[in-house]
Amino acid sequence: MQEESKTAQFEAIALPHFGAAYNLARWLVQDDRDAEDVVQEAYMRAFKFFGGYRGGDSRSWLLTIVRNTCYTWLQSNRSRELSEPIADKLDEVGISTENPETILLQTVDAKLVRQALEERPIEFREVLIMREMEDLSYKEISNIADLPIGTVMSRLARGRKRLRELLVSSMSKETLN
Amino acid sequence: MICEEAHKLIHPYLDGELDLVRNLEIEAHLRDCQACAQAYNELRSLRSAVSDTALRFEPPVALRNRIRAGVRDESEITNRPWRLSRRWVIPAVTFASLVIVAWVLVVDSAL
Repeated sequence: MQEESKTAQFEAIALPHFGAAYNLARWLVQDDRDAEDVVQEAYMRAFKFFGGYRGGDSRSWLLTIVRNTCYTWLQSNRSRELSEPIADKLDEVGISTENPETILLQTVDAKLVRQALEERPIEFREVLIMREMEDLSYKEISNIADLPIGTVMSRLARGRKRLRELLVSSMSKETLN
Repeated sequence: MICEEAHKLIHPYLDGELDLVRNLEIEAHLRDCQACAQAYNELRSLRSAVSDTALRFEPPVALRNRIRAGVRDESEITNRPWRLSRRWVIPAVTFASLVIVAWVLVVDSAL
């Protein structure tokens, strides 16, 4: 009876975040099958640690485990992607002021955005996904990725800046063609 | 507020991470400064491009079922160690019967 209710409790807490878990894992490992394996393993780990879950923000709790499982997987399967840590410059929290014409990014093709995001190093990709797609706060991202809030902020700013540059250049290439 | 300061705060402003006073300050600046207002609008359009639901990866339904089955299996194995997991019952019974038959045969032939 008790085990039955533990399983049911776990499902009620962890399964609502299944979509967010898969989306994050898929963006981090960048492959359908690998993302499925990683998400399944993350859920098994979460179930194992469920005794230690003391209530609170269940989405952050689960996504922390998903992200850690992704990094463990990447380390043993694609360590090259993680081998060059980026330098975080805290003062680099700016905006692009070059290119004064308004760029209509609203009209940008989702395919181009996907491609540009995929090309970003994982450190920027993950904060962009968590912020823009999962609508997580700086505090939540800082907890999940185990980063100081200032680093979350500067990575978001740098990530957006570079993403914008990539999109602007790929859009102007498209217009030329 | 000067532009340099606005540049630093524009991301947390966009993300709803500023306190009320800072919010009011940057809003006032964006009303007065066209360059910053434009930069802000571009950030907003970048955000709507990235948060497009078409960019989300949807999980396969089968994965959800696999996870539920995996969790239930795990819960059986870890929480009832004194009971055989369902998947071992048939092999266990088969093995036990074979041992008994073999023993009977050995005892029979010895007599």
